[in-house]
Amino acid sequence: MSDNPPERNRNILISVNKLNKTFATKSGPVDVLFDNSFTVHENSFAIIFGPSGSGKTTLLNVLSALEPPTSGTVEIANQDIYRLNADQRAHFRAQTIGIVHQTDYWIKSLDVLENVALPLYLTGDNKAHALKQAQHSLEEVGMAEFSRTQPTVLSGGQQQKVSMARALVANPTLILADEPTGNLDSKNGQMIMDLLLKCQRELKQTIILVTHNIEYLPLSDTQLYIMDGRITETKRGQKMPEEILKSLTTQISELTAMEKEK
Amino acid sequence: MIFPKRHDSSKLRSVINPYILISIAVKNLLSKKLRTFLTMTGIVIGVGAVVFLVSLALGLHGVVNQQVLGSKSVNTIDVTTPNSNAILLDDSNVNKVSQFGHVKIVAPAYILAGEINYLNSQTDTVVYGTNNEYITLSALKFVAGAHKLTAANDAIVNTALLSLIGVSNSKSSLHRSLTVSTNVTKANGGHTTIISKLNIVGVVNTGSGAEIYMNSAPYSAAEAAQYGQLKVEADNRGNVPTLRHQIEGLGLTTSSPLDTLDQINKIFAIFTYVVIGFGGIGMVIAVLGMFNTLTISLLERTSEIGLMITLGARKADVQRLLIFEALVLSIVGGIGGLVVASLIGGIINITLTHLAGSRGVSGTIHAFSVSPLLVIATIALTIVVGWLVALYPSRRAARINPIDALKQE
Repeated sequence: MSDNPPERNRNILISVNKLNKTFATKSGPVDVLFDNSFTVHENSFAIIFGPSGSGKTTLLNVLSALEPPTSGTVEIANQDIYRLNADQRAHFRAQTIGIVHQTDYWIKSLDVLENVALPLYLTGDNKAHALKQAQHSLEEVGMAEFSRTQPTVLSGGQQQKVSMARALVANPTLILADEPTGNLDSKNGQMIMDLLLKCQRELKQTIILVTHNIEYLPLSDTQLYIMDGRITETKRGQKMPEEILKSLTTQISELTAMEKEK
Repeated sequence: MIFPKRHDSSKLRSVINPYILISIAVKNLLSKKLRTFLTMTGIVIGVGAVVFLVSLALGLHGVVNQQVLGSKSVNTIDVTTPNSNAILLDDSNVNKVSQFGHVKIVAPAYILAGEINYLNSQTDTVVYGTNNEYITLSALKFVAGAHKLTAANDAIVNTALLSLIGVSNSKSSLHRSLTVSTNVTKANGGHTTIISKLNIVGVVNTGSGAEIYMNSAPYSAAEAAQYGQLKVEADNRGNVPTLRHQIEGLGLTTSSPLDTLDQINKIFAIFTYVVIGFGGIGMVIAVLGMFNTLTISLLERTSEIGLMITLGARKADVQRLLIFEALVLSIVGGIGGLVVASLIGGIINITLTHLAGSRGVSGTIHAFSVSPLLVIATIALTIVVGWLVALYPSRRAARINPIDALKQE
């Protein structure tokens, strides 16, 4: 981004080294991620993109400290996260990572404010402070007036904004967003993207966005193209490899053809 | 942007504040009002049934004890001789008994067959030649006049005696004179007849045959061979068995209200277990209902649990949430059961007391008794039950894989 220092001048936040992930299934092991290594710098914007079934969500789950890799290491903020036990990783997640899902998940018995306060509750914060912070966070996303509403009665765009507020409430270092605009119309999609950019620029947070939408690529400092479990890392200013450009061109022409058929 | 500095983990408690977890548990329960209400009603009925039946057992136990023991002290031992020819209940043995440890009072009584002459009527009677300590330890039910003998010729009679001599009103019998004649076997083997002119000072309604209590002095003076009975009061209940053992060592026979009390206690202990068994059936059904509710609620909320773990909840946090939900159900249900059972028991007690009162029986009837111990035991039971019921669902919840759980939505 033009108002941010070049990425190479910032510290490395995420360092993934020789990451492999294999799932055991009834029909035998399925390799999802092969021998991947990449880095993401602090206060940068990274995009994970690639065709469906290529391993994007698995990679995001591994980065979320939710899915231990079969081999390799994942360091976030100088912490090898899979050396921590499950409870320590939970605490690490609550403090360091804000997660925005494609679908909105809620504790249905709690109102918007308490849902947003939940990550703070889970770090042991007291109720009054957590609710105050949650209210701030809702104000940031423009949803303060809905604090006492049940989240499930809100529209998709509003729910996604509240979901952003929840991801931001503990002021995490890293925000992981799994196709947050996937279920939204273009106007609401743009609004969420603006919020993510605001987090990066103003709160100096690091954003990792999983998306199908290649029009967001110019916003990113790091592009992680994933195809059949193999990640190709391209930093801002570097030329994207020919085969990726070719694959993207194919995808675009397929989409155009589908549009014409409609 | 007004955001706090990033959290310092060292300054935070390691897990979610339990009050917050309890408030989430309560909100989860309230979000399914009908289900929670029905489950809780089951627990109210289950706990209520157990408390109602146990309080009935305890109440009846109390009523029976009261009826059997009356105001008798449980520290009192009645001493008699099994064979009046071989072992005498005489002053020598009475002195030996008085010298045993833990003896508070030793009160002997001559018990003799006698004849009453009152105006023109005559009747046979049992004569107790004794003292005021013996009268006190006998726990007589006084209906008129003095409770003790003051003058040498004072006498206390029972209502059975009064009716035999044609006096229907207990109060009008007071200060009337009668004559008692008794045949006494003397210590030297001889016989003598003692005639005493007595003045009625008190009336009791104890005993079905005619009985009269008078001073022992005339019989002591006549050197009567032995006493009919000895009442010994121990300094406390715990020393009664030892003291009885010592007295029986003299060849004498003892009996104590504790014998009856022990038998009553044994019978009521069995009765209590039986009623707990019956009430327990309701409790088991309530527990199964609670287990069902928690398990279904967990299945419905798998993705919520997954979300909590994704957001940073630990296994212990998830387990505690489920345990708190179960405890809220069981404790509130348990208190409800206690209140309902106590109210119904209380209403029955009041009704019985009124009914008994209208038939001339005085005093309050406690057919149902909810003691503080029963309240504490019930609450402890509901806590244990709630915790046990939550064990399986909470462990299952803690094993939820958040990634799979979120896919279920």
